[in-house]
Amino acid sequence: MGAVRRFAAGACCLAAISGLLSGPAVCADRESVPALIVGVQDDDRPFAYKENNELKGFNVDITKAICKQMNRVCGIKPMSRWDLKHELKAGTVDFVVDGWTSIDDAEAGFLYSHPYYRSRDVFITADSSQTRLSPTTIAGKTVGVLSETAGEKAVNEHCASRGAVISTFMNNREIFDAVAAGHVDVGYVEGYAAYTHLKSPEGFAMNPVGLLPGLAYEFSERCIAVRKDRGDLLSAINRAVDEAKLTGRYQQISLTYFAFMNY
Amino acid sequence: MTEEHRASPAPAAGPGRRRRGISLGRFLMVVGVPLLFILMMCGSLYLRTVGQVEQASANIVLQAGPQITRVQRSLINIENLKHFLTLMRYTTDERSARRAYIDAWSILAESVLDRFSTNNELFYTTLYNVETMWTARQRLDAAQEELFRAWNRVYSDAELTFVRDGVKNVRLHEFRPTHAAVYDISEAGTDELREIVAGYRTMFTLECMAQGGPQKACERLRGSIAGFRRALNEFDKERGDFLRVSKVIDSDVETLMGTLTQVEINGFLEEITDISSHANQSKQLIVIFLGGFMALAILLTVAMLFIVRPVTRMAESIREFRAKGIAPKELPKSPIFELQELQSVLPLLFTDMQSEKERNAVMTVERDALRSETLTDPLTQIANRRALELFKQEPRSAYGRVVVMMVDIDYFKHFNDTYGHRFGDEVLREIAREIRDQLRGRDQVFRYGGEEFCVVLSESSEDLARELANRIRECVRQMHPKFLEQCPTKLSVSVGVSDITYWTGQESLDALIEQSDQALYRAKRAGRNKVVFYDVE
Repeated sequence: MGAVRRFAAGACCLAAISGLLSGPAVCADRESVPALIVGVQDDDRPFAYKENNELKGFNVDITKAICKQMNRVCGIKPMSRWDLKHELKAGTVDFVVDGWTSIDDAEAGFLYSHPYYRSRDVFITADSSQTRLSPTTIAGKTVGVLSETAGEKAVNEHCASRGAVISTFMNNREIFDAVAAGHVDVGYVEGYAAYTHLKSPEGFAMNPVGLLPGLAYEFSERCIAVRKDRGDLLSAINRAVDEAKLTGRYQQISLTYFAFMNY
Repeated sequence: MTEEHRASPAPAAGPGRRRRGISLGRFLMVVGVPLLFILMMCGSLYLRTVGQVEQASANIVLQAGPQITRVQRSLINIENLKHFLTLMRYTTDERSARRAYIDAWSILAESVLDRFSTNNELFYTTLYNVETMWTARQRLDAAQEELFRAWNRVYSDAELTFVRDGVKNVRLHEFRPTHAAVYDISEAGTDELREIVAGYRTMFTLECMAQGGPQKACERLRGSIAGFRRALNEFDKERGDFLRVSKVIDSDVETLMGTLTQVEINGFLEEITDISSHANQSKQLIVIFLGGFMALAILLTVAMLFIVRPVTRMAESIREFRAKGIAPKELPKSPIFELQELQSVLPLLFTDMQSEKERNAVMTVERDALRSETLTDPLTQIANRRALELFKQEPRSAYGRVVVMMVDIDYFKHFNDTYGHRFGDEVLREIAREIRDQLRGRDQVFRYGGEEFCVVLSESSEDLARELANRIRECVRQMHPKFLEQCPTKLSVSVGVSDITYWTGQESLDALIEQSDQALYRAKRAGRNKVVFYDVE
């Protein structure tokens, strides 16, 4: 019994000493390891946007939470949606937090993390006489959609064949402007961006007018993208995403920007 | 005893006879085999059920974390939805109501309340009802604006008319329009509006009557009051629509909440129900199992009473019969057919065995007598040559050193020829008796043939053989039987003695006989009445 106590006391002392030594070592590691460069969009409410010269948004906060979870220093680099893809390919950014899915850019061949949010695209319109839209009532309408996305595939598959004219845009802002100006009858926009815009003063003239329920790409699991040769980084990101969900940090961020949380 | 059994044999259970009892074979087929089968089935089912209980428990443990998280998330989202719907309904700020509408819409559109496809219809129905409520709210807002405008018209008309016509003492300030007071969709709010209308009417009527003339002024107010009433009716209608949709939404949300909670806990409930049903199943199986074992115990007890005990008793009877030769008077009765059959034939068997035993005893006596006759020389009453042959073949374990002596009566032919065969027979009888008298109990004497005797000395020695041989020779020489009185010649015998050797079977005895025969021949040649030992030289 005495031997056991002595052993336990020794183990406690050893643990305490190693704890004292390992603290500074971790800090030193964090500083010595080069910072990760993370790409986000520069004007994409509510995901990444500048307000009072400060970068804000859901993707920005998620990036910070993941980097903290990974114990890495990260530099967030805002850029256009198209630059994100090129910079990730070129390796000038380590990973991109922009809600991509494997459907969006299958040919690019990136690796995708565990989903960090899940959303659907919705139809919006500025035409107050417009009522509920569906693939069957969309004939003759001009539909604005983000190019090279699951949304574009969906409207091409389910609306173009029914007589809708599809018009593609480079980012959500362009679609909102086109809808407001009446250049397109309806916009088919990623839901989270649409809700934020509809709640803003500029979006008050618009309304949500329908969904594509039960069809392909109805919901998309949105992921963080890394280059194919960064499998180790992807594993670390996955662990960080899972831990953020478990600790409640994810839900906290989610409710800051949205009316709900989906994980 | 034998006669008793023969006289009253046990009742035979023949096919034509009606038997009382049960068949062991049929009993085992009808009860034992199905019981065993049921027990085996129960055992395997029990093991399977225990496995299922384990699986279901493991599922609960595995699913508990994610399910609890999902329940928490769904509850938070639905609370948010309720909050936004309340804002949509009650806020006077149009922008807040609009934002609340978009948020409520997004919660339902994103299906974040749950991920179960079975609820999608409910989500979409609720979503469309929220859209309808938003439209109703917008129409209600418009109706309220119109009402407010109508009220203002009445008020300004009244003010203008009263001032123009000089009507005094009218509490007009009590009816000053206040925007915030109008927008109240509760019943109380509507009543208040109705009171305003009634108040105006009363006031104008009373004042007009009191003034006794400003009938015209009252007439002028009728138009704006009618407009106010129309706006109020329109507001009432829109408010009714809005309330109706609100109630539908309330019901939808209640259903959603109930369904979600139900769906979320259904996962647990299914597993728990599964466990409970498996546990009940295993309880039933245990009951069947215990029942089966009890039945088996009863079966074994019955078997002990009706099979084992009678069989044991029968075995004891057979043992007793073998030991004492006494057949049992009565055997224990068994209700088992097969044992009854056995019990019915057992006394017959005893009887037969008894008879056989008695016949065997008689045969043994007869056989012994016959054997004795066959192996005994009838004249001398000693063992004959055949007995010697059998003696040689009998296995012996401890016979020790053996010596064979051949004893031959000297001049026996002479006695036989001279005094007759009867005399010769007497001589043979007397000498045989004399030889036998001289030998020890373990020694054997055989009449070898004619007047020749073969003596086998076991556990002997050379000195003993010499002593015995000489004693026989001397005793024969000294014999004086009555029948010898007429004979002047004395009787004598020649004895040939073999080497002493260890008994190894027939071969060694044959060799010794040969040796003693040679020695006898030498004794004869040496003059008779001699004892000669075998000498190789």
